[in-house]
Amino acid sequence: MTVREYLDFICDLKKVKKEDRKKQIDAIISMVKIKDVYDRLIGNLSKGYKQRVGIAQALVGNPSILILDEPTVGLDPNQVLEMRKLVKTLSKTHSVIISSHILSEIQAIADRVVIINNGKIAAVDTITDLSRRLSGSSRLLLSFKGPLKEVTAGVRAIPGVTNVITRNSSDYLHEIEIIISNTSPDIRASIFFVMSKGGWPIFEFRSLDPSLEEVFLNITAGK
Amino acid sequence: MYAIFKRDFLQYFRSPVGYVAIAIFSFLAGFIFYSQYANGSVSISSEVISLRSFFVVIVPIITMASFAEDKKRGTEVLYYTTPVDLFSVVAGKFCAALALFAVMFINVFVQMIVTVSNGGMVGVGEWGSVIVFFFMAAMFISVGLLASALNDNQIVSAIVAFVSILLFQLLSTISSYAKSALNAVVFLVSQDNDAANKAGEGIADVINWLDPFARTSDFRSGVFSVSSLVFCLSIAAIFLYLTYRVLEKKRWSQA
Repeated sequence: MTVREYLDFICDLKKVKKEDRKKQIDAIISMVKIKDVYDRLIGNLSKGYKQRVGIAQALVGNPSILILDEPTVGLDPNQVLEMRKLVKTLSKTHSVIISSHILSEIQAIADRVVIINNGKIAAVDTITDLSRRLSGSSRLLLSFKGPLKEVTAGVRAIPGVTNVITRNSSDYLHEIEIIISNTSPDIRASIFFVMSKGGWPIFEFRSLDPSLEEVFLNITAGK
Repeated sequence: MYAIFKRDFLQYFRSPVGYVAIAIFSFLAGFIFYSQYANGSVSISSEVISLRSFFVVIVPIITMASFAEDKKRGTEVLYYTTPVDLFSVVAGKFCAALALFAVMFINVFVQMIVTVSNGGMVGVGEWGSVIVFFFMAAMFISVGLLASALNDNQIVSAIVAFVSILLFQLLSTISSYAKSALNAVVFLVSQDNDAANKAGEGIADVINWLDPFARTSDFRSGVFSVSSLVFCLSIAAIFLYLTYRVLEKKRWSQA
């Protein structure tokens, strides 16, 4: 069965009106980019294209909700990127529900996450709120060159910082973890100014909020 | 229903199934016709009646993939998630198989033309046999469809269909065995010859009532009995309904 015949068959099954059909199929094939393979047998297509044909099939009849089960499974990294892009585009006009075990995938495309553990909903939230809520605070990692004591004191003086922990210390480079209470506003700018005032160069400065993977493990292990 | 019909009918020609079925039928029809023709007397009705005994081979070939293939390709889910009615899925597949029979039957129509153009006769009896052929085909196709819906494996469903159709074809033999067996048993128990005969006749009547071949034997002589056609249609309807119920059950049961 070719892609054309298949989509036609789906249109028949979903009772798409004859007059809308051409317009709808044209829109779908340009959206999921399967124009090149439109007249080829589905059996001969690559996995990525098959996946797209599957999505095209789901889009026939213009449903308001799309449910994709592991949309990137078995795809190579390029195809995964394209699939992400496609899902992002689709999410402008449809509600997309994705189920996946690959959490980095979810982290990259999802607006809201539902974690299900043993058949029960364990958490529903946006990814940032979820990790914040879990740790109760935000953490920042700062590595720099300069006097450890002075920097620690300086950072500690910034309102909102609850604690500063030294993670790593050598003659050349120091690494500290800054713990901020959840309610405080963004203090990254203040930290930067403390450092620049002292003339201490920053080598690395990033958020240590738990990844979705850690959040997931934490939520599902606790029960 | 038309969507399913179209897809399934074309599917026969995308796989070897349609060609194999047509080839087998053409070979058999051609062989029987030619052997009659070589003898100098052609009877289309006796040819068609002989062809009926090959339902047991052709029908399982046609129906074995009907549902198993959908399961394998995952298109089965489409029936459950689109607004299409499950009964129209069954009806579409049924019509597709029947249409394939119609295509195969072109052979016989060509032979009819050959017969007539050579001064032979194609009369009421011949048309009667053709009508019976299609009603029986409908009946056995529905049996094959049920076998296919019940089994996910094509080979198993082919074997189940084969055995079921074979049982129908053996009904007259079964009835005569049952008759003599019951006759002997009753005679042994009661030592009453009359009762034994009656019991034997009784069981034979019951089994013969089910035999579509015995029921339609009058058609070749031009006697059309509506009741036997209704019989074939009823059996077909029952099996199609059962197939529909099997699909409906699959929809709601957890995998």
